[in-house]
Amino acid sequence: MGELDFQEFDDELRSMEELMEESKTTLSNESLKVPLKSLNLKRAVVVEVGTSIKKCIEKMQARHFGCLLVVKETQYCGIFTERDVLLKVAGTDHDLETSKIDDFMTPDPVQLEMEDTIETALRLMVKGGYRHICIVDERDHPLSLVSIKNIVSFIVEFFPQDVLNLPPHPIRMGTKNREGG
Amino acid sequence: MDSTTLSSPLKTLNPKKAICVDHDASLKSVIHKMKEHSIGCVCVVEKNWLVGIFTERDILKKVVCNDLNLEKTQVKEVMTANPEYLFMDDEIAFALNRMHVGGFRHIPLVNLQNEPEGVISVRDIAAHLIQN
Repeated sequence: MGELDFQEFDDELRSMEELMEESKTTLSNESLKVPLKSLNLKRAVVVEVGTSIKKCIEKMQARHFGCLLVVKETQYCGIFTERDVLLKVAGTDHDLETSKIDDFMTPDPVQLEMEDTIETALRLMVKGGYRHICIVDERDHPLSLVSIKNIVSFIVEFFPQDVLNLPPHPIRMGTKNREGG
Repeated sequence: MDSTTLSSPLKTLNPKKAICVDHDASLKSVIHKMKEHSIGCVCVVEKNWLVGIFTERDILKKVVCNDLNLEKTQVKEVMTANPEYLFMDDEIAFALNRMHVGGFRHIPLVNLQNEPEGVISVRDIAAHLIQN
């Protein structure tokens, strides 16, 4: 290896160290004070009041959604989640074809607007034990759904080196030292 | 919050105690247990050894609307077998990694004998992050 090659190697090493240094981010409360509209949120799946539980569950199964938003004449009025399926549907004798979502949903749930911050959503989720919160427009029409997973993904992006760039398994006691000679 | 928070062990989050069911328990008894404890996830064990996880998502996808006989169906038929697990001393970063990449909401925490000791949920981690 010539002198020039060593120089290139040193430069490369330095730029890698700088990159590593840049990734040592700190997540402050300020970092979470960004509006929900900056998240890449999915469109919510909506059903009308009066829809049968069977149809609702089939919709959730087909769309791989853990949560449905219920509307009455396009206005948001309830939420129906996997937790409702567990607590109110599973293991009961309800006729799922004739039972209506109105009797199983959580009425008048907490809602947010696109201008509300990620911090507000996270605090509501932690305090209220919610995993999903509906985002509505000024006329209470559901626009989207923010989930706790969306927020965790947002946080993870601050720490790519620490969370995404990991070995397949944690280094544990007993595996810290090399085996053999 | 900074990188040091993420390198703390999962036990600092005080994970909830794992609620376990035997692998040949009926779905009826398992669902009853989940309602009783108001939890979205149980660890499925065979001779105390973690063999699966059964969650609200499994109920939605595999149980309701599928005409299963809840008394005759055993949880091992519908559970998610060989789930990802971690140890209490593993770093929070690994749980976040599994949740972000694998999309899991719950991860069982086991001891050296592969017996479930706790369960860490995405909400536990979110609560911890907001406190920091």
